[in-house]
Amino acid sequence: MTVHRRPFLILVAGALLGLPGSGRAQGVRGDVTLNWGWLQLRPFVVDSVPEDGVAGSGLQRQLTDGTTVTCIEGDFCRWYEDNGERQDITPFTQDLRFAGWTGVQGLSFHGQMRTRFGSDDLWPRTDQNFDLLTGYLSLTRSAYRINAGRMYRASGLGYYNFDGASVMFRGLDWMWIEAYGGWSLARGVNAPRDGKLYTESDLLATDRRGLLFGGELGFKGGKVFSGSATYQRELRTDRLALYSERAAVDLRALIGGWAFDGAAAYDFAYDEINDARVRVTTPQILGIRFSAQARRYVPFFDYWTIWSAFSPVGFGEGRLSGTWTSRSIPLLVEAGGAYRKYEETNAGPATTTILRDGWRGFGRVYWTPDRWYVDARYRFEDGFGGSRYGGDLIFGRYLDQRSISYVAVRGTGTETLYEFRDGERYVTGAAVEGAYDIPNADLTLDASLGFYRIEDKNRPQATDWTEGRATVGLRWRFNTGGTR
Amino acid sequence: MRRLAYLGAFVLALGAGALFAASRATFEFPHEKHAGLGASGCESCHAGIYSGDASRNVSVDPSLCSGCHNGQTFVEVNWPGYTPQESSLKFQHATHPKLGCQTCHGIPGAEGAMAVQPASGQVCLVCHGNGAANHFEVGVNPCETCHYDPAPGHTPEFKTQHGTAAAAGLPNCTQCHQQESFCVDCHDGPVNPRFQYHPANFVTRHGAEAWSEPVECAECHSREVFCRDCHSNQGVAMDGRQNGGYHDGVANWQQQHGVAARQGMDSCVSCHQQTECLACHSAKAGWRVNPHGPDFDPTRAEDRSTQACGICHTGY
Repeated sequence: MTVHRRPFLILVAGALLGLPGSGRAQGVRGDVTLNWGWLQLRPFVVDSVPEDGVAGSGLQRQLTDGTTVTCIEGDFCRWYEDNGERQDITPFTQDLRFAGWTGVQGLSFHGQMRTRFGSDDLWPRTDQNFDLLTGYLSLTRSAYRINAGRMYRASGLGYYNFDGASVMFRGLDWMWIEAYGGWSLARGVNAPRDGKLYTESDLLATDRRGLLFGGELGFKGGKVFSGSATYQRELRTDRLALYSERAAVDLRALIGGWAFDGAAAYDFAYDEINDARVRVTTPQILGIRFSAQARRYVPFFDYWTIWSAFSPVGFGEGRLSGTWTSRSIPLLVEAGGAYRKYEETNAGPATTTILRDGWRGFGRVYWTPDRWYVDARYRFEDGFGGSRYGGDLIFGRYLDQRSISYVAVRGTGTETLYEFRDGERYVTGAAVEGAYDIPNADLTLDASLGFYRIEDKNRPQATDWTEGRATVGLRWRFNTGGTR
Repeated sequence: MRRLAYLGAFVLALGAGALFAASRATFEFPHEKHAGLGASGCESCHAGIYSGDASRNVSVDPSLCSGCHNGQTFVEVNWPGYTPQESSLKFQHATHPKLGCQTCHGIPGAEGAMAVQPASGQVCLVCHGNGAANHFEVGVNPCETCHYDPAPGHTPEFKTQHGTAAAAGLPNCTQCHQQESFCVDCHDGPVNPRFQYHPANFVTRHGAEAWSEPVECAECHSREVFCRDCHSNQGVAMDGRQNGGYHDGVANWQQQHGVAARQGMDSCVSCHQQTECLACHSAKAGWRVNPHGPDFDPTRAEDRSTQACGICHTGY
C-alpha cells in the first residue's frame, strides 16, 4: 500500500469533490483507463536426486539424459526446470488522471491514481492496491511555479518521486532555478522506503523513511543551447546515513540542424560516474539522419544496500543509428547498432569464460500506404548474460482518420540464449489486436489476443508449450475546458 | 489492506463521477452562448487572425468583453486578457486563411459559427499527414513540418533516448506534453500497455536486455520490488535457497560468478537478496570473502553510509 499519509487522500478527495464547481469556471481534462490482462507462465521448481546415484564426481555433473546438475557430496544433485503446470495471471488496473484549473489565476490541481487487482500477487505489485502516483497543487505564474503534494522530478538523475514541495523561479529568459524537498519515495514504487513492499522483498530493507532535498539550475541560450545541473541528497530520517547523494549535468546544443547532447550522473559515495553519454545527431538531409553516441554505464544502487560496495564495473559503448524518412512515399526505415566492452573486473580466474563484450543491432521498416500499414522490426542483443535475436511483423489497417481505431495481425519470432544457463529458447507466435474509438463519446476500446509457442532446445527435461495472452482496455477522456 | 483498496476504488469512482458531471458543465468561454456574435465573423473578436498580428490573433481584446459585461447590461467580467504562451508550433493563421475557421475548429454535428473547439494536431494531418494520420506514433512525418526544432532529438528511437534532451530542456517538453502525466505514463512501471514502450510479449524476451541495459531498467522498475517480486513468484529468484543448480551453463560457476556479478550487478539483484551474498561476503561471519574491488574507497562510502558498512562490519 502506497498512501500512508492521510492528507494526500483528503487533498485528492477534496479536489475531486470540488471539480464540478471549479470545472464550470475553468476546466478539467484527463482520462480514466481500465486495463485487464491475461497471460500464462510456467514457474520453475527445483528437482533433485541423491548424489550417490549420479555418475562422476565434482560439483557439476550430468544425468543420463544429459541434464546438467549441481551436486553436493553426500547430499543431493539439483537442477531447475519448469514444473509443467501453467499459471494463469490476470492483472487489472484502473487509472484516473486529471489536471484542472481552479478559477484562481494560475492555480491548478493535478493527479494520477491507480488501483491494482488480480492474481493473488502473481503479477508484480498487485498487492499495492491503491497507488497515488501524483497529486499536487500548482501555482503557476510567468516568473515562478510552486507545487505542493505528491510529485516527481524527472532530471538527469532519472525519475524520483516524493511528497513535498518545489519552487521554481523562471523570471529570466536564459535560466531557471528550482529547489525541492520532502519525504522521499522509493524509486518506481511510490512507497516510502520503510514500506511493506520493500520490507517484504528484502530481509535487510531499511526501516527508516527518507528525506529528499535537491536543486536544479537550468539555462538556455536562445534556441542554440540549453542545459541543467542537478544536485540531490536523500537522507534517513534518523540522519545516521544517506540513501543517496548524486549530481547530474545535462547539456544540449542545436547548431545548424546538428544536435549535440551530453550528460553525466555522479555518485558521491562511491566516486563513480554512473551514466555518461555524448551524442551527435546530424541534420536531416534527403530524409536521412544519423546519430552517433558514446556511453559509459555503471549501475547506481541506493546506499542502504551493499551492492555498490561489491565494486560493480561499467561498460563503454559506441552506438550508431540512422533513419530515412521518404518525402514521396509514406515510408520510414530505421537501423542501428552498438558495441559495448566491460571494464576489468579483477574478479575470478584469468581463465574465466564469461563474455566481456556484446553487440546489439536493430532495424525497422514502416510503410503506410493509404490506411494500411506494415511494420517490420528486428532486434538482436548478443553478449554478456544473455542474447536474443528476433522481431515482429505487423499488418494493420487504420479505421478512422485519426488513426486511433485499427485492426492488426502480428507475427513474432525470437530466439533466446542465456549465457549462464544451458539451452536455447524459441518463441514463435501470432496475435490479433485492435482498437476502436467510439465517435463523439471520447471512449476508446482496445483488445488483443495472442498465442505463443515456446520451445526449449538442448534442455532434456524441458517440455514445449503454448502460452496464451490477452488484453482488454477502455479509456475515457474528458476535457471540460474546450474553448480555452 | 482491503479497506484501503475499497477506499481507492471509491475515490476512483467518485472522481469519475465528479468528472463526468464536470464534463457536462459549461466551458470557460461559452462560445455557444454568444452565438449572436458569430454573425460578425470570427475576426470581429479575433482581430489579428488574418493579419498575422501575433499579439491579437488568438486573444480577444478584454475591452470587447467589458463592453457588454459591465455590470449593467450583463454581469461584470474582469478578464485581464490572454497571456501568450511559448509554443513550438509553426502554424500561423495568416497562412491558412482559405480553410475557414470551422474546418479546424468546428464541432462535428454542431451548427453555427460559434460551435467551435480547439483544433488538435490531428487536424493538421488531414493535409500534412503524408498519407498517415497518427500524430504521435506514426513517425512517417517529419516533426519539422509543424513544429520548430523538436526534430533533432525526436528521431523514431527518441522514446528510448530522450533522457538528456528532457533533462537539459524540460520547459520545452511541456510545450507539447503534459508534464503532470506524460512522464509518469512510462516511468512508473508496470505501465499502461497502450504506450507500448516494450514490444509485445516482452516478458518472454526481456532477459537479454536486462543484462545489457540499453537503457537502465531501474529508471522505471524497482529491482527489489518489481523484478524480484515476479522472479520469486516464478521460482527464478533464490529466495534463501543455498542449493545451486540454476546457473548450469557455466562450469564452476562458483569460481566465475565474481566476474558476472561485477559486470551485471543489476541483474543479480533482480533475483538475489543481500543476505544470500553475505553468506560468504561478510566480515562478520561465513567465509569472509572480501567483495571490494581494488579501487574501492571505504572512507567516502563510510562518510555517507555507515548503516550499509555496518551490515558486514562490526563497529558501526
